[in-house]
Amino acid sequence: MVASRTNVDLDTETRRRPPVGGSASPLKRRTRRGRSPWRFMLYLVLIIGAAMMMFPFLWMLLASLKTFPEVNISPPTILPSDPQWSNYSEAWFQPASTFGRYFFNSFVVAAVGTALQVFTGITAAYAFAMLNFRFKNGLFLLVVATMMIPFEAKIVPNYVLIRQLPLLGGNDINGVGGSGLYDSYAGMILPGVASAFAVFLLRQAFMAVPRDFWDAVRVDGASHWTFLWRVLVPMSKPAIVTVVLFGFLARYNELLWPLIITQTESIRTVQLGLLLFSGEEGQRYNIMMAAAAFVILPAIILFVLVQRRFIEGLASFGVKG
Amino acid sequence: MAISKRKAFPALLILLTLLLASCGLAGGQEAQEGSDKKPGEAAGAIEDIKVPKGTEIDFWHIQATIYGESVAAVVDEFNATNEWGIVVNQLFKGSYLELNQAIRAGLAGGGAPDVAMAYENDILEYQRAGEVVELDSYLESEKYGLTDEEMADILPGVLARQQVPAYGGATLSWPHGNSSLGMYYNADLLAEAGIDSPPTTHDEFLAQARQLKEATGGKYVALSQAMNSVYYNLLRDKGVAGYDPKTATTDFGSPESIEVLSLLETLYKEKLAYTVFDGVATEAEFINGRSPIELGTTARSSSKIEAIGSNFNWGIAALGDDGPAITQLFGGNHVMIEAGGNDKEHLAAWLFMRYFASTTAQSVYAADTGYSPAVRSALETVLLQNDYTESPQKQQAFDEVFVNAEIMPPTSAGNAINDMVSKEVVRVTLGQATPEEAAERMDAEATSLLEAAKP
Repeated sequence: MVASRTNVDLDTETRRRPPVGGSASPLKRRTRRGRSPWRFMLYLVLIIGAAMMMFPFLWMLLASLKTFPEVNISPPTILPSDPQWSNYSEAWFQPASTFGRYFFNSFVVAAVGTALQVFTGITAAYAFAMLNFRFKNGLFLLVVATMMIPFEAKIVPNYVLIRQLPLLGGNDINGVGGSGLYDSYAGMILPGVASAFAVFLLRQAFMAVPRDFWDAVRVDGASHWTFLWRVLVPMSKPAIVTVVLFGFLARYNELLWPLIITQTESIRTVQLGLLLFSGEEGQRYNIMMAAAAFVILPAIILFVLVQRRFIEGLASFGVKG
Repeated sequence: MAISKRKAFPALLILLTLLLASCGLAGGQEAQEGSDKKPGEAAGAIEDIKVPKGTEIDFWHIQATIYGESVAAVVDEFNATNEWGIVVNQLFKGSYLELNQAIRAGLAGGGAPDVAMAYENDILEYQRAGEVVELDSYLESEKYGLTDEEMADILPGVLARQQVPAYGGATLSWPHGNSSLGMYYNADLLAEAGIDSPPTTHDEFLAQARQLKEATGGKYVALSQAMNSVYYNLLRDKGVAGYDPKTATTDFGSPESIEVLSLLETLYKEKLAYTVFDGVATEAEFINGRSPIELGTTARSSSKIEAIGSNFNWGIAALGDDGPAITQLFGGNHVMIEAGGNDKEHLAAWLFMRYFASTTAQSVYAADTGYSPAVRSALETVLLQNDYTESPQKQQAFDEVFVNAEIMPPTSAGNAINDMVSKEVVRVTLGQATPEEAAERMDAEATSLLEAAKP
C-alpha cells in the first residue's frame, strides 16, 4: 500500500514537471527518448538477459524431442533431427499410476499445505504484530530461529512424530501399534503447516499498516478477528500472495520428505516421478526433459497469474527469492 | 495444607504430562522389547515356520530407468509364481543416500522395510544397531536354503562380499546383480593410430597413449575427477589391495603405489590424459568419439550400446598388469532388516532374496540392464545367450572384467579415504605433489582414518 501511494505521488510529480527542452511536445519527447542509443542499449541488454533466462527452458523443450543417441551427441545439435513426440507419452506413462495421478497428488499436497500454512502464518503474524503479551519478542526470535535448522536434521524427528501420532492410522493412545499418518496426504502436508518464513513476512506486512486503522475499527466495535480478516488481510495481499507462491512452489518441488514418508506408489508426487528417469546407473535424459516440460507448467502458470502481486510483495517487504 | 485452585490446575497438568510421558516410554519400551530378537535367533526353527499365504514384504531399492523397470518385472514374476503366495511391494527410494535416510527414519520410528539394497559400509552400520538379520541359518536350511552346487554357482567375488571379514563370520547380505570397473576402448580410434588391441599392462597403456598422440595428436583417456577408483584399480592390477581395515594399515606408501601415481603423473605431464567432471562426462567423451579409452562402470554398457549404435567399433576389457586383472566390484546387495518384520516375514523376505539371486531372475535382470549376473548358470539361459549374442560387449564385460571383480575392503572410513585419495591423486596430476609426497600423505591419513574407524 505504501508502495502504491508512492507510485501515485511520483506520477503526479512527473505530470507537474515542466517539459524538458522547452517547447517540445510530450509526443516528440517520447519519440526522441525512444530513439536514444542508450535506450537501445538498455533493450539490447534486457533482450540478451531474457534470452539467457529463456535458454534453459528452450533447451529442455528441444532435448525432450530428441532420441537417446541424439541427446548424447557432443557438440550437441540444437534442433532435433527427428522429433520424438512419443517421448511425452513415454514420460507420462512411466510411473505405474501415470503422471496424471502424480499431478493430482502434488496439487492436493501443495494446495492444502499452502492454505494451512497461510492460515497459521496470518494468525501467528497477527499475534506478533498487533497483540501485546509477555515474551513476545523472545518468542518471535524463537520462531525465526527455527529457519536456521536444516531440513535434513528434522527428517527423523518428523518421521517419528508422524508415525507415532496417537489414535491415528491404527495407533493406540501411546502412538504404538499402527503407522500414524505415514503414507498419507496428511503425513506429507503436516510437517510444513507452520512456516517461520510466512510468519516473519506477514508480521512485517502487518506492522506496515498504521495503527490508526485498528483504532478506527475498534471504535466501531470490531474484534481482532474482524480487523484481521476484513482490514489487514485485504491490505496485505501482496505479502500473502508472496507467501502463497513461495509455499506452493516449495511444496510442489519437495522431494526428500514425500520420498521418505510414502510407501504406496500411487500416492507419490510429480517430483518423485521425475526421479524415475535418473538413477545410479545412468539417465534417460530425453524422457526426463519431456517429463520436466510438463511438470514445470503449473508453476509457470501460477507465477504468470500472480506475478504482479508477487513482485509488489517482494519489493515492499525486502525479500529476495 | 490447602492448595489454591490456581496452583492445582498447573500441578494437575504437570502430573498428567508426566503420566502420559511415562506411559509413552513404557509403550516404547514394550515395542522395542517386542522386536529385540537377536539376529538368527529363529535359526533352529526355520524349517517349522510356515509363511501364511498373502504375506506382504516391503523391498526398498535405488533402481530407476531400465534398472527399475527390470526390478519391477522380476518382482512381478516372483509375486505371480511363488508357491507361498508372498507379495513383495517394491519401492524405489531414490539414491543410496536417500534410501539410507529413509531406512534410518524407519528404524527410529517404525516402518522399516523387510529387504533393502545397501553397500557394505551401510550394512555395517545397521549391524551395529542390531538391525540386520543374519542369513546363515536360512542358507543352511534344508528346506529353504541353497545346495552346495547352487552356492558354487555364485561368482567368487560376489559371494565374498556377502561374507566380508568385518561381518564377523556371518552372511549379512545376498546378491542383487552388480557391475565392475572396465576399460572401454574405441577400436576404430585405436586402429587409426596403428593399435590393434587394447593394452594389457601399464607399460602398454602408456606406450599406446604416446603412440596415439604421435599418430593423431589426440589424447588417450578421459578420467573423472573422482580418481580414487582409477587409482585403486591400477593398484589392484599390481596385486595390491589398498588397505586393511582390520590392521589399520595401507599399501598407499608401497613401491607399487608410487609406480601407479607416477603413471598418472606421466599421463598428465605428457598431455596424454585429461580430466572431466564425472562418470557421465567420461561416458560422453567416449560415446562421442573424443576419448579412445574410458575407465568406467560396466553397468553403462547397455546405455553405450544404445547411444553409440553403429557409429564405431568398441569393446570392454580389463587392464591388468603383473597379476590377474582384478577390477573393482560395484553395486549394492540385498540386506534383511530385523525391524522390518516377524519370523514369517523374515522367511518370506529370504525366499524373495533367494529368488532374486537365482538363475532365472539374474538372467532377466542381466538381459534387461548393464549388470552382470551374480550366478554363472544365468549364462546358460536362452534369454541371456541371445542377449549376449546381440550385445557382445556385455558378454565381454562379464568374461573379461566382471568374473575377477572384488570390492574394496569395507570400512566405515571408506568414504573419507576415497575423498582423501581422490584429492591426493588429483594433486599429482596437477603437478602440485610428487608421487612420493602424495603416497606418504595418503598412507598417513588413511592409517589415521582406519584407526579411528576400528570397531
